[in-house]
Amino acid sequence: MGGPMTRRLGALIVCACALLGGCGRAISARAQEDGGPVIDTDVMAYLSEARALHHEANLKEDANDLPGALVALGQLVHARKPHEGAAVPEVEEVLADTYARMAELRLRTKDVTGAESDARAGLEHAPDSTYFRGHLLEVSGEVEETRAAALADAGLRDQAAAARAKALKLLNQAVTVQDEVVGRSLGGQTGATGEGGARQ
Amino acid sequence: MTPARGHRRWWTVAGLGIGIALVQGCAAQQSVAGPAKGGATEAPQAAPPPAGTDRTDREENDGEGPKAALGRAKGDFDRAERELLTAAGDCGTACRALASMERATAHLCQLASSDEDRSRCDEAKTKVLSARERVRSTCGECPGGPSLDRNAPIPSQRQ
Repeated sequence: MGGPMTRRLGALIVCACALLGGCGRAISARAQEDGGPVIDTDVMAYLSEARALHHEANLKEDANDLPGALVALGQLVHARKPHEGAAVPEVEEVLADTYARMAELRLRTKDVTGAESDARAGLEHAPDSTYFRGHLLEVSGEVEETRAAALADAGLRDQAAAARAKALKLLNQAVTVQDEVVGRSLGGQTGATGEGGARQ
Repeated sequence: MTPARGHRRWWTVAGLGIGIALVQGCAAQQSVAGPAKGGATEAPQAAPPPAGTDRTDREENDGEGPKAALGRAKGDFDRAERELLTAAGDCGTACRALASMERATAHLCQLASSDEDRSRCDEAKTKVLSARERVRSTCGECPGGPSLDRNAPIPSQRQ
């Protein structure tokens, strides 16, 4: 996964790209004919745009311009999606990942409501027990934790306790999902039973 | 709080997906159209024998048509791609999931006030330690990610 793996990945991608020069056939046509995954030019263009906008967000974040980073990521989630109406896994992962990052950035700007909204939007793109769902549950838990602290500071004890209980539940679900992901990634089984039985 | 932002899994997936689609599209195109010029002397040269190919294999390849040689090369590529995805994807995902699990556990334990909460915190810590052990035994390490040392704090990375 480190240097050698990165080099192997790079070599594979470079190799494949080199073949582009001798291959003018439309990928979309091939994918449709084969009935395989639709990784066509529209999806490739969207993923390329996603990468560029995340890079832009990195630069803004490094310059401590969090609102600027949010603008770049917002542009991505509101961009036209390839195959609108159909769930393309790569696109769904991008959206789940991007909403999670936006929620984290909003938390850093103390925008708890905005962070909650982004985390909820991200979860809609990650319905299954995946790393992305686990991460969004983790961020959702942090959102509720932050809310609980703010409510406690305002003297609203009951509401703070409710937010705290919600945070604990979400964080527990995050641990469960990610435990499943680790087990599945390594080809083993876990004793996990889903998010407290809510979702498998 | 923020996971390693520089390495997003879908970047790798996207890169590999694009590469594989191009290779397959290319192979299909060449098999339909056949060699444009020069017949059998051109197409096989595009796919050098993989490392470790012995003399017998090369002699066998010499007797193959361009379509068969291309098919063999594509098979090698597909196999290598599957191995690469398994190695890169699985450990990468496991490491990132472990890091997320650690962060969630840290917050969970920070919020724990009742006995029931503390019990949940202990359960989560046990899961983290077990996951660390599983990731360590399969992947060895998580470069740039969480520590796989059993005695490392939870979370093992600065949040």
